[in-house]
Parts: sequence; C-alpha cells; structure tokens
Amino acid sequence: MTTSGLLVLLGLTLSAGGAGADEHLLAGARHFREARYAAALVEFRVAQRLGAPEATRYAAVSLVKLGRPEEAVEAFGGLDGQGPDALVDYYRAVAAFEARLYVAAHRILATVADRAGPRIGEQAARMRADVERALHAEPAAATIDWYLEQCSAGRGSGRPVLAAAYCREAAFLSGRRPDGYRHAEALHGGGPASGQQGSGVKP
Amino acid sequence: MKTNWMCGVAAAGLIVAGRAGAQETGDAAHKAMRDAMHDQAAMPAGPAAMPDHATAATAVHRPMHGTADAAAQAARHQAMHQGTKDAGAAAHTEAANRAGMGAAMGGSMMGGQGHGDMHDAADKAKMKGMHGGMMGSGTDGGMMGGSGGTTGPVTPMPGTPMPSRDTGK
Repeated sequence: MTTSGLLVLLGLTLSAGGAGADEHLLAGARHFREARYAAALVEFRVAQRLGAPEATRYAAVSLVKLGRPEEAVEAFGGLDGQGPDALVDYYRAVAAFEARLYVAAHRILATVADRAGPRIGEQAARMRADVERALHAEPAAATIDWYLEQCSAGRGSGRPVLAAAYCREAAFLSGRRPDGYRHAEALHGGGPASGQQGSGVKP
Repeated sequence: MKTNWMCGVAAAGLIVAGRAGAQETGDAAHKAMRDAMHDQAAMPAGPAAMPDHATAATAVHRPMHGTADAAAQAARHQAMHQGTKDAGAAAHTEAANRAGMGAAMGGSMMGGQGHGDMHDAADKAKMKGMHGGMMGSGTDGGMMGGSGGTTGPVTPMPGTPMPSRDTGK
C-alpha cells in the first residue's frame, strides 16, 4: 500500500474511533431515557472501554436504576467528597442509601441540596431527614457487626471501595457508642485491631 | 510527491470532520443523559432502616427502581419522540430491547444468580459488535449479544422488609 493510502486509512480509522465512544454514549442515553437500564449499562461500558471517561459515571447511574447499589458504589469509585455534577452526586447518594451506607449518603446529600434543581433538592432534603431519623438512636452492637461483615465480604469479593465504605460506616457508628464497640477494628478496615496499620478510615 | 501531500490534507480533513461529528454526538449524548437522569431521579425504594441481627437473615426489600414510574416516563418519552426518531435508531433500540428482555428473562429463570457473568458475556458480545462497528457495520451486531439478566435480586443483603413510610415510624 502506498503512503497516500496509509494516510487516508489512518484518517478514516481515527475518525471512526473518535466517533465510536460517543455513539455508544448516545445509544446508552437513549436506552436510559426509555428505562432500558440493562441495555444502557452495556452501551456505557463499551463507551468506557473506548475511552469515554464520563461513561463510567453513567454506567454507575444505570446500576443504581437497576437496583444494584453495591456495584454502583464500586463503579462510582467511592463516596467521598463532592463531585462536579450535582445530579450524578444525587444518584451516588441513592446508591449509598440503598446499600445502607447512610452516613455517606447523608454527607453527599448535604452537598447536593444547593446545587441541584428544586425537585432534586427537595428529594435530597427528604432523604437527609430520613437518614437523620434512622441515625438518631444509639447504634446497636448488631448493627456494627453487620457493617463489619459487609466490609469483610466486600474485601473478599474484590470490592475494595465498597468494603472501605462499610468499614467507615461501622467506625462512625461505633464511635457513637459509649463503649466504642469494635471501634478500633472498624478503624483498621475490619481486620484485627492490633498490629495492623489503618486503612484511612475515619469516623 | 504531490499526491502524497494531497492525501495528507485529505486525511487531516477526515480527522477534523470526524472529530467534529464525534463532538456533536458526544454533546447530544450528554444532553440526552442529563435530561433522562433528571427526569428519572427517584427517591430510594424505602425509608432508612439500620440493619441488625434480627434482619441479618433476610434480603433487603429492594424493588426495582423505575419500574412503574420509569415505564410511564418511557411511554411519555416514546410518544414525544415518535415523530423525530429516525428509523435506524428505532430499529437499534428495539433490537437492543428484545435482546435485553431475552437475557433478563434468562437471568430471572436462573433465580437472578450470576448476573455478573451474564453481563460479562453481554459485554464481550457487545465488544465484538463494537469492533464491527468501527469497520462500518454499526452497533446492532453487538446489541444482539443481550444485556445480561439484571432484573433478578442483587447480592443477598441482610435486612428487613422496610416499613411503610406511613406506619413504620
């Protein structure tokens, strides 16, 4: 093949490749709009592999709609901080809420209320009030046990982000008990409290 | 030499045109997704309930989001967009829907287990379609790979059926 042919082929390939991710993104958005979340998820994952960074967030949002909040938490890459998009943060909070990561959900929702529109802001406020009611009582020891079990299960199933989120939740809740039930263990990421370095979990 | 130079310009033109087209498609995708996310932003399925021992053996009550609400939403959207959708897009989404339904039914028949594997298979099939698409055959081939049985219950989670908002508090 001549050099000229190669140049044209390169041009065609680059154009097709650039458009490919966006086409899958658009197809995913259309599926999502029509409530076909499973199909949307597939499209977003393909777009993600083709190098569309925002597809990761959209895939996570699709997982929320599919009722798979634990996977969504992992796909969002964590529950820390405030994201650039209040709407995506709202879905992140819903994922946390449905995975029973209420403290994390509350923290995210606090950042959503002022940035999202009135409807989303109102929903966020209602969710926050709901979480506050649930967190009002002193947490039972069994509740902390449950969170630590989820932390351990998350680590065992290769979901480090989710595992860390559950341990952080356990650490926060155990810190609210006078006896600090399993607090050190929660701070150390669900492992034995002695002889290990912390995993950055903060109540 | 002159031919090479002209082909270089042509290749550059193709790249620029392709990028511009991709940019438009990308912008349209983001706008469509933002609108859809906004329209379908629902509240969680039930109120917050702290897990404990009593709840540890039962699965979380987690109804599918967007079943009734989103179906109604989808119907409205479909009605709204009926006149503007091009035939290719409609065929594409319909094919994807059929494939998705088939795979989801399969997942349900298996009790919803193993949806991750099914997703992997769907992704692989989709990736095959993607490679075909880059060579000009479009994306439908990939979509026929299905979308994975995702409607079954998710990973069993301890928890109780959540109390009603009206009576549970």
